[in-house]
Amino acid sequence: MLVGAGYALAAATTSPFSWQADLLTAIPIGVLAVAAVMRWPARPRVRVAEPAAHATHPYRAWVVLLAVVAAWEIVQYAAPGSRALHPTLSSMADAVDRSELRKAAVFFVWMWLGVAIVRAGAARTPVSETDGVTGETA
Amino acid sequence: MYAVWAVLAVALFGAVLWSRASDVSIARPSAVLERLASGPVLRVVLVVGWMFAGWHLFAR
Repeated sequence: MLVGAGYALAAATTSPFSWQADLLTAIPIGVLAVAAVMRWPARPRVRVAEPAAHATHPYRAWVVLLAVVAAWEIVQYAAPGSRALHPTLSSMADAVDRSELRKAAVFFVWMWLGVAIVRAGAARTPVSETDGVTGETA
Repeated sequence: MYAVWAVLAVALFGAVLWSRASDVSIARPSAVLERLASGPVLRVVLVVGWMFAGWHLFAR
C-alpha cells in the first residue's frame, strides 16, 4: 500500500508526453500484463453473479449505465464549441490532474483497479459466498 | 453540460448502493468485475481498456 502510494506520488510529478511519464505509466501496464498471463487460467470458466429470486438480468442496469455514459461522451466529444461547454471524461480528468495530489490519488486508484482486475480473473477452486458470485460454465 | 455528468455520477453511486441491498436485481460491482475478468473475450477488452485509460490519462 505504501509502495503503491509512493509510486503514485512519483508518477504524479511527471508531465504528460515526457519519457518519465511514459516509463512510470508503462511499468504498471507491463506488470499487469505479466500478472494476468501468470495468474489467469488459459481457459477461463465464466463466473456469473448469483441472482436474487426475481433477478433475471443482474448486469442489465450496469450495461444501460455504461451505454448512456458512452453515448454522452460521444455527444460531448463531437459537439462544436469549447471543452468548458462540452466537457468530456478526458477534459474533466485533465482538470483533476492539475493538482499533483489529486493526480496521485487517481493514479493510485488506477493501479488498485488493475490489481482488482487480476484478482477477479485469477483461477480459484472454492467459490466464495461473500462476493455474491458462483461458478458456471459458459 | 456538467449537470448531465453529475446526474450520471449520482446514478452510478446510486447503483452501487442499490446493489449492496439484499435481494435486489442488480449485481454488485465486484461481481460485475469478476464476470468481465472471467470471460474469454471480455477479459481482454477489460485489460486493454484499463491499459488505454492509464496511458491516456497519465502518459499522453
